This record gives sequence, structure tokens and C-alpha cells, in this order.
Amino acid sequence: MKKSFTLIAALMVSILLVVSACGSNSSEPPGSTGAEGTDKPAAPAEEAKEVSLSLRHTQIKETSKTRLKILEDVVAKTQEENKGLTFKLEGIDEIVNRDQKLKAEMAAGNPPDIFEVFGGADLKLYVKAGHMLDLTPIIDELGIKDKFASLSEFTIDGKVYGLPFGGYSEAIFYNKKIFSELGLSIPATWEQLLDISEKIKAAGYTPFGLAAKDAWVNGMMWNTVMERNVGMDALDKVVTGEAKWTDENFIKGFTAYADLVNKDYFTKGALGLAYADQGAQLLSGKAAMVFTGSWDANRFTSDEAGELKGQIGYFAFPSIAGGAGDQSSINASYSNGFGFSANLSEDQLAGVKKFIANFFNEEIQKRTLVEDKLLPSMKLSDLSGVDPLISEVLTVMANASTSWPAFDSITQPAVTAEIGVGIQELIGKVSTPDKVAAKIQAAQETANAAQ
Amino acid sequence: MNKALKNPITYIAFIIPTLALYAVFFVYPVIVSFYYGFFQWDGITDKMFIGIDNFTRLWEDEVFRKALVNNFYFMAFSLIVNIPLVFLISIIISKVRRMRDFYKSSVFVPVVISTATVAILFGVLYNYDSGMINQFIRLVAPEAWAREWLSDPKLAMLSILIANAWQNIGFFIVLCLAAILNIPKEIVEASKIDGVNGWQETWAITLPLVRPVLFVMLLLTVSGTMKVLDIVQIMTNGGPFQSTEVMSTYMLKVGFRSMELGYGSAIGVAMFMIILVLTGLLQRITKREEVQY
Amino acid sequence: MTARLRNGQWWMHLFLLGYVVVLLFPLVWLFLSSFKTNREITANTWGLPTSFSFDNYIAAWETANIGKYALNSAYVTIAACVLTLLFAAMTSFAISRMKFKRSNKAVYQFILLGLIVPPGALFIPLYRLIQGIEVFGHPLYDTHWSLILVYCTYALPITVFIIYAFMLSIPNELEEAGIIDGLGASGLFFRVIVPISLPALVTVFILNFIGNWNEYILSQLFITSESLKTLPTGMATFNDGYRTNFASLSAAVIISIVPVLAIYVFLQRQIIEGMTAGSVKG
Repeated sequence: MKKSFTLIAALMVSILLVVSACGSNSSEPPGSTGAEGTDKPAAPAEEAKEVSLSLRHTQIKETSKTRLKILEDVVAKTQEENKGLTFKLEGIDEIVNRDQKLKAEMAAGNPPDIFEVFGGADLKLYVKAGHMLDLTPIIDELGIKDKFASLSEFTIDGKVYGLPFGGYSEAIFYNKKIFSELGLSIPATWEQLLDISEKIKAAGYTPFGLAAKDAWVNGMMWNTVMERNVGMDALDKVVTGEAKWTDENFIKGFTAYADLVNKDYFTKGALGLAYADQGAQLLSGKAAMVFTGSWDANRFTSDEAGELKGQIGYFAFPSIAGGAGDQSSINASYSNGFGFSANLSEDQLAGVKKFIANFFNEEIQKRTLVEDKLLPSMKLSDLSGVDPLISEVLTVMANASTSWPAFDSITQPAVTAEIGVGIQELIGKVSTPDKVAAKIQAAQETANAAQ
Repeated sequence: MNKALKNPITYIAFIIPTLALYAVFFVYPVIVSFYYGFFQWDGITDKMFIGIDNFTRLWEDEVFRKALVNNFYFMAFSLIVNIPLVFLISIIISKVRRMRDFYKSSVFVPVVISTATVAILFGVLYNYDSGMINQFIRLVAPEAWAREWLSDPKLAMLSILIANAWQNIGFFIVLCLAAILNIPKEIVEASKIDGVNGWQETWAITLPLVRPVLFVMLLLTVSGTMKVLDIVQIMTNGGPFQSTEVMSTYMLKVGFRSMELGYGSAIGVAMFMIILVLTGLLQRITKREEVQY
Repeated sequence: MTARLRNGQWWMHLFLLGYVVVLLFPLVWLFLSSFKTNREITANTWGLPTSFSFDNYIAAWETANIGKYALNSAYVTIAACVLTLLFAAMTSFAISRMKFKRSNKAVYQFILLGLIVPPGALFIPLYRLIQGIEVFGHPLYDTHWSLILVYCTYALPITVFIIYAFMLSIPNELEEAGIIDGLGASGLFFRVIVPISLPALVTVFILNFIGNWNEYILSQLFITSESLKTLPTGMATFNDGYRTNFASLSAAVIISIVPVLAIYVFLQRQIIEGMTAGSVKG
């Protein structure tokens, strides 16, 4: 009795699994997997049409609660105004989404209806695969095209495929207390920067807090030093093959960065530290400066700053005399944004328009700036009520002559990886600027040949 | 007499659920992943069949070679340090008469923590400036002895191995201890009458009898260290400058970050083959020894 | 003789206590950190907390939704573990005790292949597969069953491997006694082999429990609904790579460890000890 039961149960389970799996395998030509969930058979047209939009976000961390709340408010408002329209929010881990989930969905042709996307390499592929909605007509119709600070990261061949909800700039945050204690002033030139770093080091502080475990963190300061030396268009040229990483100006850039390393201006043991530790070094009063993005302003104005609250400032990277770059430019970019699926129904498209109108406007942008301290991606007329540190950040950006996007939005992923390794080798003092440049150039040539 | 154990229907019923799950969620994705290995593919746009080009490229890939060496380092360390330590501790625990429960529970505690947490914990311990390890060294030795544990390419791998041992030894101890305590008391007592003392008993009786568990541990160590991912990914992510890169971390970087899913899959296939050969060798070796008994 | 042994034991205790201190030190620190503020952790990393307040625990519980996530995790974890144990024990029994020599070997080797495959390579094919499967017209994607079945499958190789080794070592006499009593294969399995194998079963149960309890990536891939998410999602809330909320994180980790430890201590006391004593006599 018992025996036959086990037997039958076991067989049932296995048959069920095999059958269902076979069913799915055979009906899985690329591109047809996903349709379920999003494109339910069109409901018969009645008064209030039931339209559903899936919205994938990555604001699941404690630190992004504010941003999530703003998004939820916009969604609630949009649903309120449009009866029958529902948004299904889904929050997942940013890295899992970027590396696996969204990628697998793009390959299958069934991305969510609305999703967070980065401008740059990822977006290029998605557009190439034909799964990104062309937003140009929508933003023209809504009249918001010119309201954005910059859409360049989301523009491919003149068409806009994503809308940034915020931006950042990268420069130097510093501890005002240490600066006044040592009688230092904000450096305007490379020489002055070296000079104050020497004084800071002599006083027993770390000049630049650094956490170099993850390549992108090191890439930030290196990128700006490099730009000062070569100019941003030189980077475009290495991708086309017109310039080489081993050219004189590039070597100068690598050498300048290596100088900072060799003078021991960075945190000792930095290569083993995760990014979060970099901010902690500034806030614990051990490091006098950190080079990082404006997104950290949120942390630097939080309770974690303790007695340093209000004592953290922001200044632009100094100029390098004789460099080929624009000496008062800044790395600023608007690459965090929303993208939309290309396979939306007419009704869904209408819903998307409503969402864009409610999300991308001055009111929401201002709220994000004040509550979340995220730099607005749209031009704001009213900047009252903003935290002093954020004001400094905005001032630095306003004073910059030009802005340019980070190098990894230009170089191919494989080259970016090689640059990451090269900078780490410089930080670890195991290689020379010449050797690093040669290795990166080799990766560049392989990548260029594959295009 | 043995008819009960020769019934083919029962037999099939007993193995089918496992095989069915296996076929669907394991064999199928593995085949798909193998298939990708023959394409040049970014994971999204159209893939291009390139035959075995990915595999020939692998042959010349220096980073892959370095990663393979690191995997072997990982394996050697686990075999030479972890496993003898497991035996030593298990035998001692089996010999003490008081507090055995306390030891057994304490030894297991690190096992229950997720690898992500272990990595964060050790990151704090290894910190050059404020880490407990360096602070302790500074207390008893000159400042120069303090080390950059995770950022010195010569030490980073070792630091990971220590954290890994800290987390994983406990499970093996419990496994080993279960086998030791499972040895029938009669055998132990019989040997005592023969005048065998405590440590002779360990050599002569305990070790041979726990040989099946030893095989389990060896095989888990070999396969586990060759495909190790989590702890390396979270502690150093292969850095500094790829000095701690292992095959899995390299595979994920290539496949997902550099957007060469085809090449990444080829790395996965190569890993599979390498581990297959190693575990095959291991089975061969242990089988030859078993004949003696 | 007894005196000599007792004298000989002090160094063993010394050795074990030393080992235990090394093992537990980081955890004691984690425990103490769970009572500190972030500011205290940054500024005074290794000191004692200034006060024992449960603020971090309250914050962790509320922010990370731990109550609900822990229930989901418990369900998924236990279901997957029980299923794994049942299937693995059945298979191990068949291939270790039943008389089908050639097939036994083939099945065993086939299952061992599972130990070899690097799981990282399978995320994308597996995700697409799960998205495609329907059971009786209901998609498997975004259900707890997607996790349970996959966790079960990926725990099977190591589980079969360990249980098989254990079952092989069971003396034939026990089985023969059962056969004389008139038991069939299932009877032997449930009444003789499973009870004897309990120590091994419990050990792998705990191992799988921990693995499933802490699994993050697959649960992010397969589960979209907020109400179905599992505990590691809550843990990740405090560690976003840009900024680690160590205070809340340590509290959350302590909360997540407690049930697993409790299960371990309980099972060890009640089952492993009891059964080893029993089986030796039988």
C-alpha cells in the first residue's frame, strides 16, 4: 500500500516535470519566450481599459528608500489620473539585473515594459537588438526635449532611447576642518595640489582616501587626470585607431597618476578595500580628501558624518599646465535613466506617455534634489532649500567650462577591463606607466579589430 | 532471498525523481551553455558560429592560465592544510570526554553564516589601518610586520584561503566526527584489550575506518576549490590586478561585464573538463587503494 | 589508567579552546557591533558598545522586512531540503543497496557530474528555462516552486554523494535481518536504512538548509513579487556597495543566524547523538 503510493507519487512528479519542460523547450524559438505576463490577450474595448505596465527598478537598498518613495508616488499619481492603468513594480538587485536578468530578457526579446538602464555600452547593444523604444516623438510631443541637461548618453544616431532621472559630477570632496587646521587653501593647479598633499601627509593624515578593490573607483580620478593631459576627443580617437594609448600625452597622464601613487598620497592597503570604505575614511577624519562622484554628497551630509557634518566641501580638480585637455572641464554625466520596451501595445504606449509626463518634470526633479540629493537631469529654475554641500556641487558644475562622460562609456568593455587592471598595477607599484599603456593599447587593438 | 532488492520497478521509481529534476534543471542548461561556447556572442544581438575559436583563444589566454594556477593553489592549500586540520580537530574532539557538545556546536557556527557576511567580516579584520590582525601584530611586533593582507598580491590569495578555511572546516569536522563516533564500540574495545593505546588506536583503527569519509572530503574539496566563486568574488573580485583571479570570477567577468558570453561559456566548458579529469583521477587513485581491504 | 588519560586531556582542551576562540572571535565582534551605532563602528571599531540598545535590531527588522522574508525563506528552504533529502535518499538507497550493478554505477557517475559544473555558467540558460516552464497552465516563474525545484536539483549531487557513501558502509547483516522479517524494498528503505542513515541525513539536511537559506542570485532572478522574496534580499538592503550600514547589517546577520543555529543544536542533540548510539547497538 505504502509502497505503491510512493511509487505513484514519484512517477507523477517526474512525468509532470519532464512533460512540462519538454513543452517549453520545443516552443522556445528565440524571441517568443517571454510574451506572457506583459501582453495578455487584448481585453475587449470597454469604458475603462485595463492596461498593465511592468516597471523594473533597482532601488531595493536601504540607501535608496527616498528614491523609491518618489517613484512610488509618481506611479500612484499616474494610476489615480488614469483609471484602468496599473503599474506592476518590481525591485531587484542592480548587479543581478544588469549582468543577468535584463540581459537574458533582452536576448529573448521580452524586457519589462519600463526599466532602469544605463547609457553607454549596455544601451547600444539593446538598441542594436531592436528592443528599445524610440522616445524621440514622445519627448517632442510632451515638449520636454530641451528641458534635459543632456541626453547625449541616451542618444544613438539622433534618436533618444532613454531618459536620465539624475546625474553626477566627479571632483574632490574635502575635510574643511583639516584644511583650516593646516592653513590650506583650495588648489587651482596641479603643483598646488601636490603641495597641499605633501603638507597633509606630513601632518599625519592621508591626502586622498582611496578604496581600490573595484576598478571603476580608481578609474574616476585617473580619468580626470588623463583628460587634463590628453583632452576628451583623444579618447574617441583611440577607439577609431587614430590615436594610441602609448602616445606622448597619454603617457604623461599615466605618469601624473603614478606620481600621486609613488608619493604615497593614497590610503595604504587601498587595493583590498571596498568602495564604501573610501567615504568612511573621509568621515572618520583620517583622509583629508577623496575624489569621487557627487552621489556621495548624500552620505557626507548624513548623520554618519558626526561632527564633520557641514564640514565637508567640494572643489573642481585643478588644472594641469601644458596639458592638452580643457583645464576647467568636469566629468559630469547623466547616464542613470529609464528605458522602455519596443514591443508595447497602443494602450501601453499611452500609459508610458503619462508616466513620462509625471516623472520627468521640474517638480519631481526638485524633490529628488532636495530629498535624495541626486543632481537633477533637467534644468531647474528654482534652487532654494538645497543642502549647502549640494549647492557647492552645483556651483562647481556651473563653473565648469565643459563636461564630458566617463571613459568607460567610450572604450569597449574589454578595454575598460584592461584599464582597470592597469591602474591597479600602478597603485600596487608593480608596473610602469609605459608598460601599462602598452598593455592597454594591445587590448585596444584587439577590440578595434573585432568591430 | 535478495529478491526485494532486485525489483526493477521499485528501482526505477526510486531513481526517477532525481534523474527527472536533473534532466530538466541541470542537464538542459548545461547543454545550452556548452552550445554558446561555440559562438561569438555578446549575449543579446545575433550570435555568430565560430567553431572552436573560443577554445583555441583560451589556450593562449594568459589570464585564464593565471586563474587556473590560482585554482590549483586553492586546491593544494585546502588539501594540505584544511584536511589534516579537520582530522586532527575531529579526533581530538572525539577523544575529549567533557564539553564535546560545546566544541561540536562552536566548530559549526561559522558554517551557518553566508559567504557574503564572511567576506565583509574578514574585510574588516584584514584592514591595513584599523584591522584587528594588524593591530595585534603592532602590539607584539614592530610596525613593519603589519601587512596589506588583501591588497598585497603575494598575500591576497592566502588571506582568502584563510577566510575560506575559517568558514568551511566546520562542516568537514562535523562530517568526519560523525564517522569517527559511528565506529562500533566493540572494535575500539577489542583493540584496547590487545593493549593498543590512544594514539596507536587512532592510526590503526580510526583512520582506516573513516576512509569513505576521507574520499567524500577529497572529492568535495577538489570540485569545490576548482569552481570556487563567492568568497573570491566578494573579497577581492580577482584583484589586485587579477592576482587572485580564479576561473569562475574570470568567466563571469568575461561573460557578463566584457559582454563576451560565448567566450565566457567556453571558459565554463573548460572548467568542466578540468574538474572532470581531476575527479576521475581521484576516483581512480582511491579505488586502487580500496582493493587492499 | 584513568588518571593518566585525564592528565593527558588538558592539552586537548587547551588546543580546542584556542581554536574555538579564533573561530568565534569575529562573531563576537559582529554581535557587539550589532549594538553600536555606525558612528561608533567607524570611529571605535574594536571597542565595546557604549550602551546595549536594540535600536539596530528594530531598524533591521522593520527596514529589511525580515519578518515576512524570513517566513518565505523558511518555507522555500524547508520544502527544498525535505524534497532533496527524500529524493536523494531514495536514489542513494537504490544505487547503493539494490542489485543493478551496471546501472548503479552509471547513475552514480551521472549524478556526480553535478558536482563538477560551475553554477555561474548556468544562470542565463536557467533563467530562460524557468521563464518558459508552465505547470498546468501556470507559469513557474515568480513562484516559490521555481526556487524549491532548482534548489533541490542543485543540492542533489552533494546530497546523494554523501548519503551514498554512508549507505554503502551499512553492514549487510542489518538488511538481511529485515528481509527475513518479510520487508520489501520500500520497507527496508523506510524501516531499516533511513533510520540508520539518520546522522548522515541530518548532516546534509543542515548543509542544504544553510545553502538555501543564504542563496541570493537565483532568488533575485526567479522572484519578482515583493511578497514572495526571501531573506537574503533583506540582508542586501544594508549593503549596497556604495555604503554599508554595518550597524543594521550586523543585527540582521545575527537575526538570520539564530534560527539556523537553533536547528543545528537541536538536531545534533536529539538526533545525531541519539541515533549513533542506537545504530551501533542494532
